[in-house]
Amino acid sequence: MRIDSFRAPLAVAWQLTRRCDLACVHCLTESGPHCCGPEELSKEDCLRIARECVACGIPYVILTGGEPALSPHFLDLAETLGRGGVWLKVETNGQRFGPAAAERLAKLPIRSVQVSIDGAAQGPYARLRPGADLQAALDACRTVRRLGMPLEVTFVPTAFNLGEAKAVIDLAVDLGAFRFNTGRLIRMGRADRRWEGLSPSQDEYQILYSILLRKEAELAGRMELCFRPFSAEEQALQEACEPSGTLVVLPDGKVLAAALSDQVCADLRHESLTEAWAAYRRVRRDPGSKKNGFAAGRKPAVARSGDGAR
Amino acid sequence: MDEGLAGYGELVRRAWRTGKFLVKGPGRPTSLLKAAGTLGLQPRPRAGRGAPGRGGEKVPEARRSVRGEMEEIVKRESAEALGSLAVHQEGTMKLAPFVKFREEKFGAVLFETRSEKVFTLNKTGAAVVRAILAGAGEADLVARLRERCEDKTGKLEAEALSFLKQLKKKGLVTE
Repeated sequence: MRIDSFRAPLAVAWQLTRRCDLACVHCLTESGPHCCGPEELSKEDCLRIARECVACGIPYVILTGGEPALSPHFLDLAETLGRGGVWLKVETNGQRFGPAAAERLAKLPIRSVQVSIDGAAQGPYARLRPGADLQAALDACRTVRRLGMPLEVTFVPTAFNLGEAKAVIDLAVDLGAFRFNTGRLIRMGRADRRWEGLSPSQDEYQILYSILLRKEAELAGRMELCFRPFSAEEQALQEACEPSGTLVVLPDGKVLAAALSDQVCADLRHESLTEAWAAYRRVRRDPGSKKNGFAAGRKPAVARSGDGAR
Repeated sequence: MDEGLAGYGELVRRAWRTGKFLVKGPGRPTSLLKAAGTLGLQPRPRAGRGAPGRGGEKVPEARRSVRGEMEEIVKRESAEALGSLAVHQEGTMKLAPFVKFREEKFGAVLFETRSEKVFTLNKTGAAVVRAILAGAGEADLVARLRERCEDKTGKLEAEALSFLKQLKKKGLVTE
């Protein structure tokens, strides 16, 4: 893909806040109830960036966190982007995704709402997400569907909940999800600190992979199973070979050069989105870009919310 | 972003929503580009027509850049507006839901946000999609393209229809 000749990013994955009502044991951004620092962007800065996204013609913005719904600017931002014609994806844990917010979102071009469900029963679900209520997440999914918004379900496999995968896939079908996302646990944040106890074994991953292949065939045409690339390493390699053109914006306005990198290429507090895009291209420049024409590109980098799955 | 440009963007988007592309000022209606001047963005003087005292002055680079960006917005949003405002008629086509079109120097980008797939288009491909957004049907697509593009090789019809077939096959365009 010729990102070097694009005049603006193809997508923005925007981590609105580190604040979250949960403190999941596998959270790769280490978000939690007390994680909202003074360094997070002000409403004015957020709205300025949102307007820039619209003006630049960015087609797609992923709003994530932490828990994006806990950002005081969440709905204003979503409305600024959505009314400007930007397709939106919202990644939520579903704990506080109530009808009032959902109804406001439903008026916008919502590409999807993604809800994290790591277990089909309260026990395994709450083991990864202490204090979380599975019923609240399921209610959020049903609200999303009732309001006509496309639903995605994300499942993070760990040693605690691997056996839940098949049941969660079936649950996602029942909930009306169009896509189920999973992949290997990513060794970052809290997942890194608890890696030994948390990470499934190779054998367990092989079992999961075979389940995914089987369910993919079984559910073809009903629900998409998204699990390739399966590991963070594969994703990073793909991104290195073919940059996605997705800017990853952190809560403090810093911009990452890649989804799973810690290399900051710009700071939106002091730079415009156009300048950030130029910086991203400088970092990611690929001299062997493809010939112009009608060429199917790869998927842009997925957002990296707290959920450590890939 | 420049305040004037932000205001102008709002104006364009309002026009997009309402379908009214003329701005009613104190005098006669004026086009959006002319209205930009009232929002702090002075249109670029035409060559040789500089006002007294300003004659011969070069347009500052910043203004030219803003103007260029503004024209990009108008171009892009006008294309999208045409697509969204067109009353769907039998035989006409439109971009599939979740698909966004963006003009680029090399042509354009089609972004299917649902699958997160990106398709780059060359200039001819971009012209085809623009014609679709403007309400072209399969029957009159080639005629519309001929109004705007030269057909030096005589292959325009075959290539445009083949490209359209690909767009439909990939689910990017629907009837």
